[in-house]
Amino acid sequence: MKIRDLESGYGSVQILWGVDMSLREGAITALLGPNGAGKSTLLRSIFGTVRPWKGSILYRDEDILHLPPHRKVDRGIALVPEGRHVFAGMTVKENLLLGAYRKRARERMEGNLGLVFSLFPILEERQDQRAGTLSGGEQQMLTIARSLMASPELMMLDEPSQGLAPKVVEEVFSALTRIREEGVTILLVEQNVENVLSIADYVYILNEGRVVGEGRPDEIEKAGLRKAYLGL
Amino acid sequence: MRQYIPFLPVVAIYGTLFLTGLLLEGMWQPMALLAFYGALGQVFNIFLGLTGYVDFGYVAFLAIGSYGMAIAASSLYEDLGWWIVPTGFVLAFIMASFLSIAVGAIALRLKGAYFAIATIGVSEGLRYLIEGTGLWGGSMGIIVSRPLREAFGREGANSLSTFWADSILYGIALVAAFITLMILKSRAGYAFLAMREDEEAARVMGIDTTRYKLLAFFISASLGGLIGASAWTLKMNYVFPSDVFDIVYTIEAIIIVLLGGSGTLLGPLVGGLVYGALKYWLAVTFPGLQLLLFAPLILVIIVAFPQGIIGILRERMGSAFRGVIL
Repeated sequence: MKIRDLESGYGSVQILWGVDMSLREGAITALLGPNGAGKSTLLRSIFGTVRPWKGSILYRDEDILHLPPHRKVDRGIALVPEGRHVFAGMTVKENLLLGAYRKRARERMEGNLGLVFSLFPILEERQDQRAGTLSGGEQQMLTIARSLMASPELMMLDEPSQGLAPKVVEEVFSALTRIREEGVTILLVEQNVENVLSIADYVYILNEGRVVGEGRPDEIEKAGLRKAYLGL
Repeated sequence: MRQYIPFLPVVAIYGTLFLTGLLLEGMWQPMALLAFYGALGQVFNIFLGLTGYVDFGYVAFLAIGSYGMAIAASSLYEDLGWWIVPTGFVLAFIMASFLSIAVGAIALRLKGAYFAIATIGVSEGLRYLIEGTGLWGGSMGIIVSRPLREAFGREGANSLSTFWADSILYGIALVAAFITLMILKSRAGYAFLAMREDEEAARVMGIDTTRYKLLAFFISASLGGLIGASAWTLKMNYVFPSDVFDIVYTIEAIIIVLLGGSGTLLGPLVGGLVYGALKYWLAVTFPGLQLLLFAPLILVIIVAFPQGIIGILRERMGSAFRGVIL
């Protein structure tokens, strides 16, 4: 995916001021930056829940800038939104099956369910339990698992470690590396810099709606970008 | 066939009302009143129950439908004869559909309370537009007793108003219930369930939430238009803006759906029966005091049984009946 000169915002408030970014297939690309840098807005603009203003998003030789979210899902793009948006009143299994809502995903439902249960055995154990009764970490795994049910080729995650205990964060991150092994491209927004630098293949740093730095994790360290923009 | 089983209780209830009205002296009107509340709940539920959005201006669709019938009857009776009634229903359907799509395309982008306020505005605005500009007879309304007499004769017009208008209402109620069942049993039913629980998550899963909301809004509104055409214009033979835009009907629809069980098939029907019977009983037993008693009574019921009557029944009866009581 190639993003060129993307501008976006809410109402008349501009948040993104021309973002350029490329995602390599099968890699984990991390998007770091301080609060209010526009990281979530960038994910939402790519996915279409926020309408981008201008620019282009090339994905498999097609400009998908103005496609609505459900058309993005049809093209294999998934978003795991911030906060744990599980369907609390439904069982774990029902949550997962709803993840395969579009036709493309329904055709591969059985296989994906097997994959999801092998990645997250705890969800298989709890499949008949109501999602609202799961712990925070399990709910986060369920939201990730549910978006895997849509057979994504690109998965974007908005702060999946938010509010989780360190041990659970590790579990979530190790699940992400296993998802990468399945060939899924990942775009990860995070505040949790230490963990991200250890799993990411490439890093972008966003500040005030612009890309202010990019490189492999070790380059980011060397260039001192980490200290300059993230204060760590 | 199995999937149609939940429809049987609906048919049984409306059938009982219809036959009771037909066979017992003096019971036709009270039964028709219950059927009206059942139907009102049923059509309102298609939107509120499926999407969780509250339309405080819902009565506008019944009103516009009643105008559709009145316009057809008063302006076309010389050319069409008895065909004015089917034409009136078509016009009612079209006018309510247009209004719902126009309002829905804009208002359904708003969330929660903003949507509710916008819809009140539309309903009240439309009423003042009619009264202020003198459109469709303005505040004088449209009286259709003469055209109906000319088209059907005195006897015919009489039975249209006292029997057929109510009978058609039973038919609309059954159609509304059947459509509800079809939606609940389809993939769209799951989409609505997901949207109600978490709209953001539903969108992320590729559910086109705007389209589904608009669909439910349109179905609910167009059926509401048919109710207005039948239960008001054909039955009363007149349409006055101050009557047909009365917000009380919207509030009654909300109460009925919540009382019976929002988003269920049987809930709005049961809610309509309980509400109608209660209102009738209070008016007879405590004349003048009914409104004073009614509000707290409804409040208590809704606070005590937030899932409504059918929600409670389903929980108590266990899984064996879940498939039957929808």
